[in-house]
Amino acid sequence: MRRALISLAEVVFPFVVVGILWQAFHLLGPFPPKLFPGVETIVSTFVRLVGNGILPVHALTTILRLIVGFLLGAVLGVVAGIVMGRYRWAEDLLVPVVSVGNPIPGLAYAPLFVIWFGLGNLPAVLLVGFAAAFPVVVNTWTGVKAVKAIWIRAAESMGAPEHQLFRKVVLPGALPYVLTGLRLGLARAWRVLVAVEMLTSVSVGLGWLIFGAREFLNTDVMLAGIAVIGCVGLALEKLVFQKLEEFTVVRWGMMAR
Amino acid sequence: MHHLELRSITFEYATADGPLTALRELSFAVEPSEFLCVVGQSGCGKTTLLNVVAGFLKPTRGAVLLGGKPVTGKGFDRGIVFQDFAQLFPWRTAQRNVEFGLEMKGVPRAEREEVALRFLRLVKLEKFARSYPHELSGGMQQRVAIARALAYNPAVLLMDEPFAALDALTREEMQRLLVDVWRETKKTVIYVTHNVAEAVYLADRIVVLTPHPGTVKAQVRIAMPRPRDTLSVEFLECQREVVGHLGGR
Amino acid sequence: MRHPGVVRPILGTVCSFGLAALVWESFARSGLFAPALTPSVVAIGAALGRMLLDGTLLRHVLYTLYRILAGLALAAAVGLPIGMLMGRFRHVERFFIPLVSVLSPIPSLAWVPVFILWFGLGNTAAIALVFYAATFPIILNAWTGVRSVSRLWIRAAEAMGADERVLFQKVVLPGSMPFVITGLRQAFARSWIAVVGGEMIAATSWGLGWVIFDSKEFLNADVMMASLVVIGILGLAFERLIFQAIERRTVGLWGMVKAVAG
Ligand SMILES: Nc1ncnc2c1ncn2[C@@H]1O[C@H](COP(=O)(O)OP(=O)(O)OP(=O)(O)O)[C@@H](O)[C@H]1O
Ligand SMILES: [Mg+2]
Repeated sequence: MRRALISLAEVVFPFVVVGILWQAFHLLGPFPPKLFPGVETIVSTFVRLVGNGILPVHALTTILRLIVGFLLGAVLGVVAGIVMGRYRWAEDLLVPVVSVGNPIPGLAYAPLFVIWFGLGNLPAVLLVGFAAAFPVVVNTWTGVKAVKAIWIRAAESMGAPEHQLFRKVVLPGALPYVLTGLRLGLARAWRVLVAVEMLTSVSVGLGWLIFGAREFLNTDVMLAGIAVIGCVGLALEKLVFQKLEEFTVVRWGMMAR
Repeated sequence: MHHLELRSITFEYATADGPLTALRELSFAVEPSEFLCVVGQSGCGKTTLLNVVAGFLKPTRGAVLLGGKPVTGKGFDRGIVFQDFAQLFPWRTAQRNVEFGLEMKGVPRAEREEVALRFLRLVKLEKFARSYPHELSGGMQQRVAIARALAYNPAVLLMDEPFAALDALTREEMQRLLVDVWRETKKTVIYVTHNVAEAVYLADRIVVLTPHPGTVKAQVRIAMPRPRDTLSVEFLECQREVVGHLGGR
Repeated sequence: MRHPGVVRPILGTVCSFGLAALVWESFARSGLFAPALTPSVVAIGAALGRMLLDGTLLRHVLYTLYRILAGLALAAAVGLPIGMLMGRFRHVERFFIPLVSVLSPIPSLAWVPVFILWFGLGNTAAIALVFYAATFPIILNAWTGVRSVSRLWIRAAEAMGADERVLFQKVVLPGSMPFVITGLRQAFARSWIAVVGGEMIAATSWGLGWVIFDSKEFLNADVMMASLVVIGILGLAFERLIFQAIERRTVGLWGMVKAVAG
């Protein structure tokens, strides 16, 4: 009980320090309060936006787009990565395309997707999937190639046919890399999505909430929106990926805690 | 008829500077339930030889016959234990590792579990059936690997210096255990090592290879009854004979 | 390496781009979209040539690069010390972990409207944006890097009489190099995205992101595609020429990581 309190205090303390610094800057800094609101304004705006349902609607819409787009990209990426890792022709063909496409920010394709698919959900979801696929492909491919030859030999000597080899050896063997790829892909999807919501002027979504607030210099609304974005991102990492890892690669000793 | 026969095997690796002969005109045979050790200096082609027998490498010339029939590629009939501890699948518990070969054969679950536990008991690891490989010591992992290679009942067990990376005490214990397991299961074993004392302790017969490229230099039959006393005059005499073949040109 | 010789990879690259161009070309000519929206490979090449010749491309590239490099330098100056101190001292670690784990998942572009209000349109906002995008990968990797330095090396150095300063300079710093380089790499990739996105949203009239956004307004798909190609080439060039060279000269040489073949 005491330990729990102490560790809670340890987590809260840095935020208190940052809050005090923020407040000092708010009072003493060069910005007018409208542009650099105090902590109390941000908190009360946050509470008001949650209370009247505005923030939850925007957040849920954004999360839904994220999930659909990311799943699309993840499935595509894992399949392409495995094929590249196992077949030489696919590797020779796809590696150059992927290594040029990967460093291009997903957002740079946004205008292209907009002129092709118009505004709204479709281009947003497609772009998110497209951007997320790259890190997934690269890591899955690396992971499949990093599967120890000795595991494959052992499985083959026990008579494993190709499809079993795939499911029971290659996939779990590559899993640490695949998970890393999915994690990077999700982070990238998240970044692209928020930006796309700003650019393609969809009518709901966290990105739009922040961007729209600019018109009226509502810095407090922007900051409240940013806080939600941070919390959603954190929750995805802690609740989804860390749990997934704990039950697989960490349990198997393939990755240190 | 011999159980396993190697007929003038030649193996060449394709390297950047042309073919490199690792094995040349190598022939010997193994009888049913025989424990055969292959010794030779590092780099003489022992691992290559085992990989050829296992079917991972196709001999450039010559053939491997199992029960009189030439073997092509890999198959259920040869179990293999590598030197590397990392051969176990980290994502499966000890028991599930041992079950793998049975799974490939389509053995139903209940029977699989029973067989796996029986072989884990044989290597004295039944208490660790549910542990993951990273929770076991190196020696324990090698014992699981032996259980895994035996569980699906291959005709021949191939072992490539499985205990080379263990400390001397553990290695001795493992050698005793291996002899017990072998007597219990009556398997035909080909065991590759560069440790002469180990070979004399384990083998019914020792095949000595020449240094690079590997070919059969001599064969020594070890007739001592088991368990063998490693300090007896007879043992040291055998050891001296094998070392003599290894050293002489 | 899996590729003996150089013929195969080059052939692969040529085939791959040839195929990509072919697919694009047939897509462009299929009439699925209006030709203005899907320019042919020739049109894209022509747009690229035009921009190169009249010097606008160079100017756009220089603006973008300036913003990236300034922001990146700032991020390294702040992020490396924080990350290293986190790896070395428990108190620092405990203080920064909660902050970093809340702030780092926020996409830097979400800050764009705020930064515009604070700093106005222009270089300052763009550099602040790059700074935000680049700092967290640098911190996280420096932190991991310091923690990954083998206890054995530290003990050995201490046994040979190294004090805290020498230890840091001669053991911890080189020992954490592979991670630090990875961090800079990731930071660069992220800055690239941030700056292009920032330039799109906060139109500043120069910069590669701005070109893309501007050509969308006028439906100049050829200019847009040409700029995309330039972005891709620049990103690849940085990775190949700078990061891989640094890696080969340091950690690759020390055998700590397998250097990636050119
Ligand atoms: N993949 C390969 N490509 C080319 N040459 C190889 C390859 N593997 C082994 N060789 C060569 O073949 C010879 C025999 O190698 P092998 O690994 O079979 O030796 P070994 O007897 O098992 O040695 P050790 O006792 O050190 O394990 C060596 O000279 C080695 O250089
Ligand atoms: Mg060997």
